[in-house]
Amino acid sequence: MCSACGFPETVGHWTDAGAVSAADKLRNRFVRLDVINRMLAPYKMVAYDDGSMPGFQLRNASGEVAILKDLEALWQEAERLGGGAVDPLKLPLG
Amino acid sequence: VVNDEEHDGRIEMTIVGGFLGAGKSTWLQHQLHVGHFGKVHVLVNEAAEVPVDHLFLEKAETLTILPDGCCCCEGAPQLIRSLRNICESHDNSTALELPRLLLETSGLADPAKIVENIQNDPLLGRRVRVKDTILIVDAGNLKHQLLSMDLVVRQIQSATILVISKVDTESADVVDRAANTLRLFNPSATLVLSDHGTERPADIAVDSSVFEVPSNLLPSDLPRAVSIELNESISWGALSVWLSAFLFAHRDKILRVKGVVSSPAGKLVIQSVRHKINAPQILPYNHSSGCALVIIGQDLDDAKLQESLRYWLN
Repeated sequence: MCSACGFPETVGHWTDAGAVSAADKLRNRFVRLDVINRMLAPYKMVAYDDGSMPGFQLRNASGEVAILKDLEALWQEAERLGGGAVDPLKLPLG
Repeated sequence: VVNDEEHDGRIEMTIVGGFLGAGKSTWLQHQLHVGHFGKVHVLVNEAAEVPVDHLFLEKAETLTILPDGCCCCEGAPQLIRSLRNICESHDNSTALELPRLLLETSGLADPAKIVENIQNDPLLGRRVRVKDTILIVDAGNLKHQLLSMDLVVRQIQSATILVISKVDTESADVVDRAANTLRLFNPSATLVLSDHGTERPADIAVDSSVFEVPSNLLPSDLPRAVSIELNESISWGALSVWLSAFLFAHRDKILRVKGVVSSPAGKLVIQSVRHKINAPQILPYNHSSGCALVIIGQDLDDAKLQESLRYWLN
């Protein structure tokens, strides 16, 4: 179990597969966070992955923060904090 | 796109489901008799029936009975415990070959939920891979069951292989209608006809004759498959974000996702049961298959999917 966030160590979400070396994992995190934040921007939310704990932190416009263990949990919480599912098929205008 | 022969060190498990009285045991007995599954450890979870069958004992390598209720819900802890024991006794033995598992569910189980329970277990998620979900459907009773039980639709939609049983007792017309009705609900599964477990050639008249199902039961938009070719250079990190967000936002409309994507660790095989994706398999580096994603579900618009992928992954 991680002593910072209390999440027990699980198999890892399917989205965490596919990285072997530490460099791959780190690169993966940056790439992911970039796409996540572009998707969250229209919903006025921001995700952080600063390496201090596994998973993500999600913050909405009114400052509510949640700590989330994987991408699935992130989208679930984003739906709650943002008041609707983050749908990648809805492209931002312009 | 998926090659079943590749395995990745996880124990392979097949789930055999079907509504009460669909003919699960008959089908399974025959398959074990002809040795279709080879040396296999059979787990039987029959909620309220007499479970032990001497034929099983004869033909299954090992037999475990799970009597504590349906293993997709209240009996789930028992199934998990039993699977953990199997992993442990394999680790403590000198056997080189991995055991093969086959679970016969109770008639009221939702196979997708069992797959999810196994995936979510910290130990079993690493050790066990559900290879196929086989669903036995009684040709004659399908219409009635579809009308009465929402569960039957969920069962049908979790299957990778649909077996229509008791075809010997039903007219060709009923079998055709059953097959076409099943295709309506789950176009991605392989259809097999069975007479007491013996496979019959599936020469089904492909027309639109289906059982008359009230329109509120039918999916308003029938499921269809969309294939998306993926450029090898697409980053898996970015794709995993897109796919997880898409699956979450459209979770009620997704039947299945299959695909091969490229990642730093090699080609990954992705498969889902409804919208839940299983732990991906890694193919060997020299694997030649191209990268593609197949999404099966309702309300899918090819152009919109392509556009969305282009927009977010560039």
